[in-house]
Amino acid sequence: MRTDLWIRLRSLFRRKTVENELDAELRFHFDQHVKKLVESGVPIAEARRRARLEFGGLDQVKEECRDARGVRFFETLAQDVRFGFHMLRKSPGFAFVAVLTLALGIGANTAIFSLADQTLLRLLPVNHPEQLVVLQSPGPSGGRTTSDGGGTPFSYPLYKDLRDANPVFSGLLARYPVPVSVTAQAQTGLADGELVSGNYFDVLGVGPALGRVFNGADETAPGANPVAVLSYGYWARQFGSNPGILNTPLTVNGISLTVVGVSRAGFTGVQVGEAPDIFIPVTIKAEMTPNWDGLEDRRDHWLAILGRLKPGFDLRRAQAALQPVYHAILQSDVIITGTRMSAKTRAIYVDKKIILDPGEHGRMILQSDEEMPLAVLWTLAGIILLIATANLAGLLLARSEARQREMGVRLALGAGRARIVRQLLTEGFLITGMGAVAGLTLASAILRILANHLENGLGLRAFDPHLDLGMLVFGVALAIFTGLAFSLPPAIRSSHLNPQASLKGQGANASNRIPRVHFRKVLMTSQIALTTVLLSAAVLFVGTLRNLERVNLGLRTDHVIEFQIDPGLNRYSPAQTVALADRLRDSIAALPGVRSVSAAKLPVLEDWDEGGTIVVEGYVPHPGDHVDVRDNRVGPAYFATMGTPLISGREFTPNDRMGSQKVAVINQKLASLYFAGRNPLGLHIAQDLGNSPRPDIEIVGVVQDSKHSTVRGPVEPYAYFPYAQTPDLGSLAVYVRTNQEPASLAPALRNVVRQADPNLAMFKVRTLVEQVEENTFADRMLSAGSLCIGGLAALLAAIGLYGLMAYVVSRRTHEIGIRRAIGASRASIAWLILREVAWMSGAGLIIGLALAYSTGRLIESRLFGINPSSPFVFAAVAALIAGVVLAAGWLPTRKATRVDPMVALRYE
Amino acid sequence: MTEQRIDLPQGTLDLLILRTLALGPEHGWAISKRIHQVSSKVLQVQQGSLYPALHRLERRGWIKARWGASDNNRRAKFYELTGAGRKQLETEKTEWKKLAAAIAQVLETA
Repeated sequence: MRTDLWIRLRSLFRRKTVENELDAELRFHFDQHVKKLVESGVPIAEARRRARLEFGGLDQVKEECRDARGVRFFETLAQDVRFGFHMLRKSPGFAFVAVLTLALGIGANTAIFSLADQTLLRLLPVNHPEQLVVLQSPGPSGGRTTSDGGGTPFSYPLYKDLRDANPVFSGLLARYPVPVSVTAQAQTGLADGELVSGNYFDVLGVGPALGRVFNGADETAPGANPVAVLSYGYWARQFGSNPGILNTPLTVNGISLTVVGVSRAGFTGVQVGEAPDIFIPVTIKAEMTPNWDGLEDRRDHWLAILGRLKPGFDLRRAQAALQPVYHAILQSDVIITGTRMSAKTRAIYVDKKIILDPGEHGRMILQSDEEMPLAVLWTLAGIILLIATANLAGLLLARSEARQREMGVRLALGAGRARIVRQLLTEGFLITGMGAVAGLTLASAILRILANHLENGLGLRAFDPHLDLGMLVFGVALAIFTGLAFSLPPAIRSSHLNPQASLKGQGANASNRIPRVHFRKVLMTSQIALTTVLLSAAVLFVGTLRNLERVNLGLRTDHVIEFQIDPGLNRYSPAQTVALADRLRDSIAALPGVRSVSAAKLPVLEDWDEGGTIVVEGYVPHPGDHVDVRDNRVGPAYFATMGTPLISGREFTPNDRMGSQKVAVINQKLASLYFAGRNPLGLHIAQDLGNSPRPDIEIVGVVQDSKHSTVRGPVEPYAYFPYAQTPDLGSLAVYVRTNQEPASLAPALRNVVRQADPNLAMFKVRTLVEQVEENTFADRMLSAGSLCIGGLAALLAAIGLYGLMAYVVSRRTHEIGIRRAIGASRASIAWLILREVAWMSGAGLIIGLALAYSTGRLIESRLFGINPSSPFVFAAVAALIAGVVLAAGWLPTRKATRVDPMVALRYE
Repeated sequence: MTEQRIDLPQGTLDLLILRTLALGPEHGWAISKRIHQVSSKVLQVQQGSLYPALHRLERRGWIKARWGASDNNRRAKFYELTGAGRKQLETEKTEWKKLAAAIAQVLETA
C-alpha cells in the first residue's frame, strides 16, 4: 500500500525524472536488441529497422507503463476537471444558479450546525467531562430565588452542607455569574464576573496558564479572600497577555482584588454561551452584588451547583445514594427556610427530590426563544438543499440526455463505463466544490451576524464565528453527500447507454425515454411542492416583519440615542445614583444638538420587565383577582424625550423627589381597566406587598399606551413612578433626543459620563432605532433568510420547469406538426403543453400547501398579525407559484404554438 | 522470425517474471532473453507487455528497481524480488500447478 502510494505520488510530482527513467530504460532495451542482432550478423541499419518494428509503438508502451504506475488516475482527474470547467463555462447561467443554491444551502446548514455544535454538542474542555453532573431540585424554596432559567439555584449554606456530607461526588462546585465593573489602566469597563467556590478549578481539573488558580484556601470566611483569576481570553483582550499583571491589584466594583493567576486557554466556564472574564471567590459576594448579600442566608437561593461523580457511580445510582443525605440536610434547613411555610408546604419542601442532570456539555439555559428561529432556518436551509439536489439531478439528467450522442461516441470508441461515470461525477463535484467554498464563506458571515446578535442582544458570549474544523468537516461532508446525490443517478444512467442506439439518434431509445421523462416530472412535482412550503414560510415571515415594523410602539424612535450605567456596582447608594442622574441630565441638556434628556430604571424594548400588584383607590377587584400592572421608574421629561404623548395631567418634574408627595403616571390601558368612567387624575394607588396598604401615590398624569419590553408583546397596564422616589435604584438607562444624527452624539456623551465619574462604566451606547432592530432581530433574520431561500427556490423551480418543458416540446415537435397539419388550433396546442405544466404544478402546489398548512402551526408563535392558515396566505403562495409556472412555461408553449407543420414533418 | 511462438495466457507473464527474478536481479532485456532461452525459444515476451508488467509489479511492491551497470557498463534499471514478491511467487506457482494439472486431467480423461 505504501509503495503504491509512493510510486503514484513520485510519478505525479517527479514527473520529469520518472519520464526520463522510463525513456532510458526502454532505450537500453532497444540498444541491447540491436546489439544482439548485429552480433548475429545483421547490418546495423537493418538491425535498427527490425528492432523498431518489433518494438511496436514506443509511445504506446510508455503510455501503458504510465498506466501501470497509476499516474493515470491523477492525469485523468486533471483532464476531467478541465473538461468540466469547459462544460460549465458553456452554460454559465446554469453554473451560477447551481453554485448559488448550493452555497446558500451548504452555508446556512453549516452555520447553524456550527452554532448547535458550540451550544449543544461540544463537551466542556475539562478533565473527564462525562463525570460532571448538574444538580437540580425543583419545588418550593421558601425565600428569595435568583435564577437565570438554567435550573434550580441553591443557597450557599446548603451548598456547603452538600459538599461536606455527600457520598457520591469527588468534588462539588458552586458558581454564580455577575456583571462587575473593573477599573484597569485608568479605564473602567463592565466585565463578566463569575463568583466561584474555592474548589471550582480543582473539581473541573482546569489549571492555570499563568500564576495559580483558586484552591480550598481561597474560600475561608465571608468578606475574606480578595483575589481574582482572569480568564485567558480576558487577559489576552484586556491586558495584551502581559504577565506583569500577576500579583497586581485590580479594582473590581470599587474594591481591590489581587490577580493571582490566569486560567488555562480554551476554558470558558461551565455555562453554555457564557465566557466569564474574571473569577472571584464566592466569599466576597457582598462586594460584588451591591445591595444584596445573602451569602449566609439559607433563604437566599442563587448558586448553581455542579458535581463530579466518583468513579463507578452512574446518574441513577448517585441520585439514589444522594437522596437520603439531601433529605437529612433539608430537614435541618427547613427550620430556617420554613418559618413562613404552611405545614403542607414544609412537608413538600423536605421531600424535594435531588435530580442529577448530565453536565458533560456544561450547564444550559433554555433559550427556547432563540432556538426556535434557528430550528426554522435550519429546516428551510435543509429543504433548499434538498431542492437544489433534486434540481441539479434534474438538470444533469437533462444534460446527460443532450449529451447522449457524445457519450455514445465515447463508449463506441472504447471508453470504459466506469470512466464515463467518473467524468460525470467529476463535473458534479466541480459544481459542489465551488458551492462548498462559497457556502463556507457564507457560513462564516452568517455565523458572525448570529454571534454578534447573541452577544449584543442576549449577552451570550463565547461563540466563535470563525471556520473551525468541525464546521469544515460538516460543510465538506454535506457537499460530498449532495454532490453524490445529484450526480450519481444521471451518471449511472449515462453509463448504461447502448452506444449503437444513441448514435443512431432516437429510434431504439425512444422506448426507455418515457420513464425517464416521467422520473423528471416526479422530481419537478416534488420540487414545486417544496418550493410552495418555502414560499409560504417566506410570505409568513415577511408579513410578520412588516406587521412588526408597522406596530405603533407609542414611542418616536428616531433621533434618540441611549446608554446605560450601573452606578450601584461602584457602590453608589440609591440617593447618590439619583444625584448622579440629575447631574448627568443637566450636563447632557447643555450639549449642543440635544432637545431633551431623561432616564429610566428599566431600558425599553430590551426584554426587561418588572411589575407587581397594586391597590387602586375606589376599585374593588373580584374575589381572588387582583390588579397586576407593569412598572418602570423614570425621570423628569421622560415622555417628552421618548415621544410618548401625554393625554392629561403632567410629566414628572425635578420637584418630585424623595420626601415630597409620592406621584405616578399611568397609561391609558391602566386607566381604562381600573378607572373606567372616572378621571384618574388626583386619585391614588399603592403597591401591594401583601399588606393591603392605603393608596397614597397620587396619579398626576395619563399617557398614551406604548410598548416596553418587546415590540411584539401586548400593551399592558403600566404605571410610572419617579426614580427619585425609588428606594433601591442601582442602574439607569439614559435617553437623549437630538436635533442631529443621534449616533454622532456618542463621543460627547462619553465625555460627560467620564467627567461625572471616571470610574463609571458606560455600556450599550446605541440609538433607539438600533435597539428596536435588535429587539426584532430574530424576525428580521427569519424574514431575510426565508425570503432569500424562497426566492432561490422559486428561481430554481422556474429554471427546472423551463428546462423540462423545452425538452418535452422539442421531443414532441413531430407530433405537434401532425396535429397542426390535421387542423389543431394554436390554443389547443398551447393547452397540450400547458396541461402538463398545470398537472405538475397543480399537484405540487396542493401537496405543498398541505405540508405548509400542517407545519404552519409549528411556527405560529413566531408570527405576528398573520395567520398561517388564512386564505390570504394560501392565495398569495398560489399566486406566486402560478407566476413562476407561467414565467417558466411561456417560452416553451409559445415555441410549440409556432411549430410549422411543414418544417416539423420534413424534419427527420 | 521463423521461431515457433505461443502467446502467453493471461496472467502468466507476472509469474514468469517473478520466477526469473528469483534467480537474482536483472534488467528488462535480460528478463525477456532469459524467458526466451529457458522456454527453448517458445515463449517470446513482447516489450510492449513486459515493461508495463514490470511497472505494475513494482507498484504492487513485489519487485523493486534500482539503477546499476550492465555487462557492457551501461546504466540499466535492475529489478529484484522483494519479500512480498517471493511470497507471491510461491502462491502463483502453486495455483499455476493446480490449474495445469486440472487442465491436463480434463484433456486426458474427457
